[in-house]
Amino acid sequence: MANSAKGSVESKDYAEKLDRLLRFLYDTEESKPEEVKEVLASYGIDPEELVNEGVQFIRSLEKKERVKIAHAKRKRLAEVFQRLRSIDARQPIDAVRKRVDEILKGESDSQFALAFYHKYDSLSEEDLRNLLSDVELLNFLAEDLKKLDRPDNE
Amino acid sequence: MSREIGRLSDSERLERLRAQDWETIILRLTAYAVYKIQRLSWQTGKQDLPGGRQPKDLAFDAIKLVWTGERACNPIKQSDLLKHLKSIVDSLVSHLIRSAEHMQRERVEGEVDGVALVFDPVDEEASNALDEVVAADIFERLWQRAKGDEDLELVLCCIEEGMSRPSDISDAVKMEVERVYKAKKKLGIILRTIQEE
Repeated sequence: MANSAKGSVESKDYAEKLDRLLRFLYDTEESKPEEVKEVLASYGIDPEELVNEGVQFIRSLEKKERVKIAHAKRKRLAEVFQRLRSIDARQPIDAVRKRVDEILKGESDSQFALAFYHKYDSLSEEDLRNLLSDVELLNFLAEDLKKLDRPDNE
Repeated sequence: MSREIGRLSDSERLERLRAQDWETIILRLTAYAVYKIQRLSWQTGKQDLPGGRQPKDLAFDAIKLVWTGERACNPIKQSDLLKHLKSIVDSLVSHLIRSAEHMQRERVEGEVDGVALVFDPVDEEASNALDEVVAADIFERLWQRAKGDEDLELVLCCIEEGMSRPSDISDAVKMEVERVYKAKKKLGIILRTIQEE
């Protein structure tokens, strides 16, 4: 029993030793560039050909990624543009009043909004329309900022 | 609210990748893939990975995953890109092996269609035991061929004692690093000869 336990420990050692031997032979962490090339050549890989092919491959990947980013930016800009266009302060004054009302109620924890809520009745139509434009724009920017702070956002 | 530290935009990520020394990374990463395949070939007796994948394929697949952002390198958690790429190669190899085992299992199940027989999964213990026997045999043959060459014997001793970095071996036995590298070359040749036998 004792012998068999010892045997299993010893045999386990050999697999680990082989791991270390192969790491010693093939892991190039400490090797000079010329030695890395020799390791590859000994495996039948032409290092120069490999580098040329690799660099070409990376260039094509970079190109594709840049196109992808450009498309994503364009899509995002189109969304922003669409969103800004939807801010309509020229709608009938009752609708403007209703929307301002909704926004201020949604901000019920803000002392400023609370104070303003009781006063905006006295505002002129023009001031009310300007107020709606500003508030909608601020809301839009706040949403955008939240998106930026999401961990998975790129 | 400030942006999370370490998170990069796509453009920043590309700029960082662009700034890397890719020639060196390609060479070292492919050499690492060679090491992984070599290790596996001693275990399985096969020179190639499932699907005929070659070291270069593994290296390029890992590089692609980093460039497309599927396995992007977080500069805070992992500042060494080569290390990150090596870990991707590790997982690609594991995935290839698992897929091959799965396909083999399905094939065997298909062959016995209609018969109430369940494929006996790979016996890991038996597989490990075989690995040990093969490894022990390799070391026995290495020692036989290293006999009389003091540098080779010293290097083999160090590997058996737990070292694998040339600089550690050089420090441990007070041998010039150049001599360690010469021993490394000789051991590589001996090992290839053993593999071909």
